[in-house]
Amino acid sequence: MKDRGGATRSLMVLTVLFCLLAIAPSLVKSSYSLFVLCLSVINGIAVIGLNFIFGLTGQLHLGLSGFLGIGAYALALSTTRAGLDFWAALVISIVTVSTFSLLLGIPTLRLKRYYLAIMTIGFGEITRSVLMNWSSFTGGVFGVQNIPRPSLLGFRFTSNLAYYYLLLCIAILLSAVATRIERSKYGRAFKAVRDDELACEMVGMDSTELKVLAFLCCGVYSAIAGSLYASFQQYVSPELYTLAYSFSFVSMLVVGGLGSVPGAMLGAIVLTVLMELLRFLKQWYLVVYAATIILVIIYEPGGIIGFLNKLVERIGRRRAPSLSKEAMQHGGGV
Amino acid sequence: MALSVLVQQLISGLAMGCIYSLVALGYTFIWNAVGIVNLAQGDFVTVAAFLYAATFSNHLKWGFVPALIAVMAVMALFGMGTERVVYHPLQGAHPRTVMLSTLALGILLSNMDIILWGPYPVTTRGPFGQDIIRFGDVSIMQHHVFIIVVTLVLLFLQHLFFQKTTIGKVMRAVAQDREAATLMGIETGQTIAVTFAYSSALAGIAGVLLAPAFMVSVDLGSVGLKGFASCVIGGFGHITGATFGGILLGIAEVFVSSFLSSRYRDAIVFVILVAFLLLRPQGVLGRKVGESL
Repeated sequence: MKDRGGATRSLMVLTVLFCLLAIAPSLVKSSYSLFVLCLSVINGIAVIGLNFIFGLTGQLHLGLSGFLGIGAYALALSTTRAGLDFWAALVISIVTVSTFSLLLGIPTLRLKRYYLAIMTIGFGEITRSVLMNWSSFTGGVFGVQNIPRPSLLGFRFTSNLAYYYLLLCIAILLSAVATRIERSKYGRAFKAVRDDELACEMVGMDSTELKVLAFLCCGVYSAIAGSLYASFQQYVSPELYTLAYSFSFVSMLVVGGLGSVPGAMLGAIVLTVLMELLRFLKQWYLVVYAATIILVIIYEPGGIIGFLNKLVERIGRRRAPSLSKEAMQHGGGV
Repeated sequence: MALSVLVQQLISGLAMGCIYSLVALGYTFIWNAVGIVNLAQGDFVTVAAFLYAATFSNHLKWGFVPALIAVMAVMALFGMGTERVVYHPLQGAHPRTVMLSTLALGILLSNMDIILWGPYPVTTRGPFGQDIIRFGDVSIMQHHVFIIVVTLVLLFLQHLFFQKTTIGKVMRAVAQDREAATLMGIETGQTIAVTFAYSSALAGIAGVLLAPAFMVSVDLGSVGLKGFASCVIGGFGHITGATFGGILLGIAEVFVSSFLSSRYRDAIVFVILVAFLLLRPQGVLGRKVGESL
């Protein structure tokens, strides 16, 4: 049975979150804060994508930087070199990343155990090295410049404020789609694979197909996030796409709450803002960051959403002592 | 290609292969004991290499043998600490959770390296420096021969350790069947801590051997991927397989990158890895793994 209370609550959190994001630009003054807001929303889209394969299906994907990098470069190169329009280039980016996700996913996800973790680490590192070394095609260390901003019905999103609202609309749309997928039979099947892969196969589900499908969803979302990032910065360079970058997205999902779309968005916002606040720590900042993640995994594996759920349940229990066991379990964990 | 070049390539491939074997063994022991892949293994190697090159060798001017022993001791303690922090509190959790915490540890370590030893690569002479032995027109780096000899001695000692000593037998028992081992009165918790210590000490040896042959920087962490590839090639969880896979990979890498481009060395390893997963996921020596959870 589905836990209706949890589902409405997650929709509520998501709505509140997007309302806050919509009014946020009028609350912040500096253009730098707006920049961080844009980054938060783009990261949010990437983390919602990661949620399909890691949160819902339980497969450790540590190469999101590879997906984002290929997505960003596909857009950058097809707009600047081939002179395509942003939206056409976005389609090319999605197709390219999807192809790579199938090429990587099919051989790796066919196997059980944890091959995906290391294969995706390798994939991320190799993507960076290819972007860096294949200078004739990718521009090497200099990256790609002058990536255009998108335009829609004659309106060009040149100012960061306009671009922010475009990002927000896309993020709302993609969150809605992700929520639909999560509640469809596919979403339930993904979770079943996460919880017990063997049992899934016993009842006749093709776990490999499901894992590859979740990986593909992740690829599509990453392509969009990567492309939006490239167009936002109007510049891409290979040194961004490191393992630490992939790790930051996994962290956002863990901190927000695995398996939850609002959790993904919330984690992305919290950690993107935190990362900017911690910049002054320089080299120490990734140390502090990684240590924090270890502590979160150990002490609060459900992340912020898990914590909120526990809080709501505790208050609810005080009001009505009998609560279904099912509702208690909602919130999951790593 | 001249025969002399072939021999030279073979020796240097064999030396690199020995390093990969050591890393691969580190993965294998932890995998066999607790069923996780330690994603920080490559960063352990980097820490050990820095510890040897920057601290013990260049700064304190210790000789090779005392420095090697010191690094191994530090790494063994470090391994036990790792077990306490990232594995022990998560015993009830899913393996992917533990793996994630090992990844976080790896990220933490690679940044600590830069904080402790600076962002610039460190070079160290090692016991032989760049000395070369000549046999006719074949010239071989002495350090490469040294790596091979040390690894062979180590593998022999390891074999004795697992066959003859009580703690070695206990470690094997825990790897084979943890519950049964517990029922037989074995302190599983302690044994797992020892396994982590041993795996880290192996990474320590790999780091010390690697340091004089390369510039020591955080990029050395990529041996983590090579070590994993060695495990897959040999058959995951298979001790002989890990050793064999490492050597095979070392040789393959040297030859392929001398024929093609050395720029895409890591990419070549990755392609080999994908090929194995597609065609022979159980590795050269392993049994079929695709079906078992």
